[in-house]
Amino acid sequence: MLFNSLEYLIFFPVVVALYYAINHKWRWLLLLAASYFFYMSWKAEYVILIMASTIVDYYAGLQMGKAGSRKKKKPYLVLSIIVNLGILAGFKYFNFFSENMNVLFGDLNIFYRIPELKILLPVGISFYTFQTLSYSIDVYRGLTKPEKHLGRFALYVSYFPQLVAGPIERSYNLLPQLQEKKTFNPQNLISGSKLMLWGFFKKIVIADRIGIYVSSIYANPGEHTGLPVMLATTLFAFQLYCDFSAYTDIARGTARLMGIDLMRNFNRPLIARSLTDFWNRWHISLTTWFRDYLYFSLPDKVGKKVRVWRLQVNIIITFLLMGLWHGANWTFLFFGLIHGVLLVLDDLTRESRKAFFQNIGLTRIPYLLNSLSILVTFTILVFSVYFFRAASIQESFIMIKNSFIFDDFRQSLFDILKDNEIMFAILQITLLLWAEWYHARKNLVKVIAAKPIWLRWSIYIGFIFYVLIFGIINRQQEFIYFQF
Amino acid sequence: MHRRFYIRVLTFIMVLVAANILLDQVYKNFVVHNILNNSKDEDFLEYDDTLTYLSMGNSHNTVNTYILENSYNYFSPAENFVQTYYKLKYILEETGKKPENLILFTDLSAFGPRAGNYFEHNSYWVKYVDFFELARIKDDRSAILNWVEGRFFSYAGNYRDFKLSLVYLIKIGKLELHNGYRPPRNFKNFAYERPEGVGILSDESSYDWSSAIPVDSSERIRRARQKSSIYFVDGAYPDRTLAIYFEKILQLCRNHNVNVILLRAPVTKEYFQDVSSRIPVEEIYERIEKIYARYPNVIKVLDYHDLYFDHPEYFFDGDHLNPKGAEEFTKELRKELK
Repeated sequence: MLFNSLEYLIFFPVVVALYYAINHKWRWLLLLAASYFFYMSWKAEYVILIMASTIVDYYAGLQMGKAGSRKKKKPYLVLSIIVNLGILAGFKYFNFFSENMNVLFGDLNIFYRIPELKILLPVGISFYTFQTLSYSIDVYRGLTKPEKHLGRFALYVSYFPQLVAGPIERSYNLLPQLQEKKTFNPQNLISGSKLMLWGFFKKIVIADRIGIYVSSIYANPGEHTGLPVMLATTLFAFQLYCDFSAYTDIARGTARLMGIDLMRNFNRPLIARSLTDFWNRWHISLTTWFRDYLYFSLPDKVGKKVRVWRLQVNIIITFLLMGLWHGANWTFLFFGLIHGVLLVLDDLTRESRKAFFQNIGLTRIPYLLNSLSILVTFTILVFSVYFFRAASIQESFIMIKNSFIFDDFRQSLFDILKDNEIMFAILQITLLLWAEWYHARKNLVKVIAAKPIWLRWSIYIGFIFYVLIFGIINRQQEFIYFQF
Repeated sequence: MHRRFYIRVLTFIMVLVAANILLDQVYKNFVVHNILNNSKDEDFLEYDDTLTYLSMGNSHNTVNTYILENSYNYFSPAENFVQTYYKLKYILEETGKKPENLILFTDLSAFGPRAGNYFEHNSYWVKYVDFFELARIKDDRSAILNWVEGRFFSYAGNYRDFKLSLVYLIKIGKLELHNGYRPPRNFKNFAYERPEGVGILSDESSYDWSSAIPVDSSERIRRARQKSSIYFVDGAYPDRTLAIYFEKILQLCRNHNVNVILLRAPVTKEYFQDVSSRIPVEEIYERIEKIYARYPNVIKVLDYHDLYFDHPEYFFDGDHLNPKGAEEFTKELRKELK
């Protein structure tokens, strides 16, 4: 069930209304049933995977709670890791592995083929396995207490607003909220609805509109050159942001209607001033997951000393795996590698860049320096999304190469300028960036809320119809992050 | 506090619903696709001559009814076989009009997955199409969403139509029709098909359509590619739903003793070559042939796809004839049908 579908627009108000109508004691059951229904509306049998993951981690959590020392806890943690990563490996990475091994066997003249599995990738598998894994690791580390109520734990794993595309919630944030007795708060209804509306704007007005152009260019990688390829890739960076952050907004908005606060997943990443800054603002629930559960766990000492080069290797390993998390394809690995290496370079050159900027006097014009930093960071991001968007590494390089072939620059520019949809999309992106910039300074939501009722309502109603009229309604598109 | 809040929420919802009804009605009554399609509906009901040929399909149907006597051109933009079926059913069962022959345009794009999944102008089609039956046949609930959109949110996603309507209201005014065909006098009735962009606010009557198709062959290839990449997306050919409805049209005609003439419209050489590089054209037509071969009421299959390979001046773009092309094509068709 997509957030931007009729089913969801009927489903979620019914669930929210029932949530407040029934006794607190049974709310977990309602939400659990709703969450499973939500997931099963896509492919019913794959709910078994969520159940398996739930039962194993529930059991592992309880056993770790009983075991006193870390040593005694360890086997249960290993069980949880094996089961969750096993599910992920089997359903997401096995075919990638077998495909590449078969190519290698062929090159080595080994006449053996690893069979390919004829399975569909379960929606949201990377999200819920990581969420439940974080619980097991936190229990192991003593950061969270084991949940004794199986139903409530199952709900933590499968809570429908964030089940298929995050945010990847931590147990210590979500579990207590699922236990608390929530009373209806009008403010939650208002702010949740606003957040959802903003999400719909980003998804159906911007992301889906851009998606049509980007798909038309990337569908025929060898056919387009110059400006259209550059523009499509640049727009894809915006599409990715709008699509994914829209999902988060709608998820957070839905949860807020039930009085539950999900974590913020994006913090204006497109205005990041460095790559490090970018990853502190982009898909925060995933980057902090990798930081807390992988990066901090990797060995950083050689002998008894912490070595900088070890930390740098760890960064690259973390980003390689983060790239792979996105999908079983070399393109994602390459995407991760680029970011890992550039982050290390960012770290290595930080002081010398600072000195350079001081020497040329750029630090005296902070506005210019910031703008340049944002531009450079965004350019790096655009370069890396060539790999994120293309279907293969070869295709990525074709697209990069074609970007710099300007055979018919004037004609391409003319075609783009007369394309109403592209011009409109660019206008919407400008509106989005302005709104985010303004909101960061003056809190746009509060500014509108302080207006007289006639004006406030006109703005809200006007914006609802704006989204409906200018949204891509007929061609319902999935959220990009569903495939991960 | 809560009571006041509930009253406010209720008031807000009421204002929202009222604004929605207003916008929905504005769209249904003043927007160009509805004006065009509804005018045609009214015009068809008034048609009282012998109806030897009823031609249906999408914008590829350029049968000039000045040339082909006793015919009615009932095409509508982006129409697919699902819509054609329900409209034909309405004509045969509700209007008391019965054509001797149905000319059905069966170009490949009409069998593609895009046509099967893309339902436009639902506010018009909602009066013909049984979207609930479609949802069952297609096994896809999004058809119900099309119904909701057509009934209550006709304007949703259609901002271009508002702009386009201004062109009609300001520049064109009343639509001229001759048995469903828009006469090409000064070409003003073709305003919305202008290839540079739909609904450009300019004086269409002075536009030189003969320059619309580029003289330069490489530019024609580029445009052909651009267009066919939109229509010929990955998926099954023929699309399952469209194949079912195509057959339903043939069954309906058989039940009402209507002969069927299947027709492939002319396209440019560049366009055809590009389509052929994307999908196995002949193989797909063989599959389609297996469907209509079972129906003896299919009396003719006319393949004109390569008729004007050497006449790019007859086209607006790769797959649409311009008024001159339509004239030549209909003369050819008339000869064949005599």
